Amino acid sequence: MKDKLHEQLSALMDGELPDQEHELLIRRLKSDTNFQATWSRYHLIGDAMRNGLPNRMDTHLAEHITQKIEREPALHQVAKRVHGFRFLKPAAGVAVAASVAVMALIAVQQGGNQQGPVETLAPRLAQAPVNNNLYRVSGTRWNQAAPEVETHLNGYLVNHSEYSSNTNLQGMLNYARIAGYDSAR
Amino acid sequence: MNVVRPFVVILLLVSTGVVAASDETDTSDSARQWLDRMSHAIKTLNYEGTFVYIHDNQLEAMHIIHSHNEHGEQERLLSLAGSPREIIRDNDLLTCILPDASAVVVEKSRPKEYLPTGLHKITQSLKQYYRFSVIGDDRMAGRDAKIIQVQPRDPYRYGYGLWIDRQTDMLLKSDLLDEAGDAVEQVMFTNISIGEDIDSSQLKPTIDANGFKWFREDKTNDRAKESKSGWYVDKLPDGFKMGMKKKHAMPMDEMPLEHLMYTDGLSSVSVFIEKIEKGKPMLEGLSNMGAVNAYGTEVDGHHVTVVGEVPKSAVKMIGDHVRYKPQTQTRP
Repeated sequence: MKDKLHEQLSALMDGELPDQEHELLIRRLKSDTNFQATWSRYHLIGDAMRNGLPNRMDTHLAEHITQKIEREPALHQVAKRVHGFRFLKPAAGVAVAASVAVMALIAVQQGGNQQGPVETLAPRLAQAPVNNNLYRVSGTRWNQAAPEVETHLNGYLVNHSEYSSNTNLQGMLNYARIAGYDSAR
Repeated sequence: MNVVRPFVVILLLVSTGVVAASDETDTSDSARQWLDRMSHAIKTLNYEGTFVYIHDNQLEAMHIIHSHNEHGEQERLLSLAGSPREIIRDNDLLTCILPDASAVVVEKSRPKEYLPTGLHKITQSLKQYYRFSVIGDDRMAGRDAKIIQVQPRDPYRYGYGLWIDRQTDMLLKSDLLDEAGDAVEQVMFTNISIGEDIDSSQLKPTIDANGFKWFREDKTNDRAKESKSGWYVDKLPDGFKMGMKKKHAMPMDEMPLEHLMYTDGLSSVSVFIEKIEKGKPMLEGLSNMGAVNAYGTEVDGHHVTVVGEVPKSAVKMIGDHVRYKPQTQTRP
């Protein structure tokens, strides 16, 4: 029985498992922690064999992600959370200016009870300076940079990516850098 | 006999030289063709898959859906772990949905005048700065792949290790490599389906942006203007040329910001210049985030910040050579 499962698992990894067997196997995978460990191990082995491993890696990644999600208030009350995404802090200050060239910037709202009418950026910014505390920064992802500086750099990076995506080889994957950086870190 | 010998030696020298040169050229041309086809495939194929993005010993899982049809290019990128974030492309319009900030950011991306063809060709001249080679075959995301390596010839740019699908030319894995050949960033598909129809519903955001407020810049009012100011860089890494120079008008009454962009055709660096404001913290010296390096310094009462996917040595060289030459004459 176990061997059969392992065989199925291996087939799933290789994309060779018949469609009708997917659901059952994935259900099993969800409920059985031993089975999950096997799954991770298979991937680890596969990656190692293909020389696809980073220099260092977190062997309990899935657990850490799960724990982090549990501790993370953002998912439960997303709309209420006002600190966070640091690429946006520029909206409050000059850094966004960096981005404004190609960026129609948008959106900032505390509390979240207004529906989203489209407004032009300029008049809005002209009448009301945006609350500087809106996007308070916590933690840092840029090395050796103060939070305020980091916010600034993020504005620059977004803007830079708009131009560099034309030349580099990764296309849209370039934006993984922007979307991939979790502000909660 | 004495006459013949030097001739033989010269002949040997010449022929070994030719063989060595043609060896490199062969795999180099083939590698560049693979890269050309790949950058075309990334933009024109339908595909959907999950990939991991590894940087600074962190790993992010993301999902991408890409469609290309008579309506043009559409794309959706979403984070699978941590707080949900989505980026949606509808041709040149890029929308970032960021629940963390209850925000939606809309950008008009890819300034058209910068690269009119919309597709970058891996040109012959890049061979001066990078060594292109076909490394071999591998399997990635369950598919047969060709490994192409792009090695920088000096310490001022990064290289790439690229795994390209043999059947469709799609990029399956990409390593950004430093001079030592170590990966500073990796993007790797764990599964991908290529060439299947993408339903338009799959390209719609799943995050409920209700309650988020949108601001959108008036499209006809392009705030970026071609700049003719006196800012320039007097020493660049070999092969880097100015890609564009713009002045960004500020939405509020802030100082104008100058944006200079330099590229060698593969790697690019942005230089941002703004007037120094008292009490405003700016980057001094070096910083980095994954493969992106930044360098801040002061020139002529202005703060200069250099940002790019290039090694430290490149951002520093460029930052240290930013100069200002006052414009003595204004055009009639």
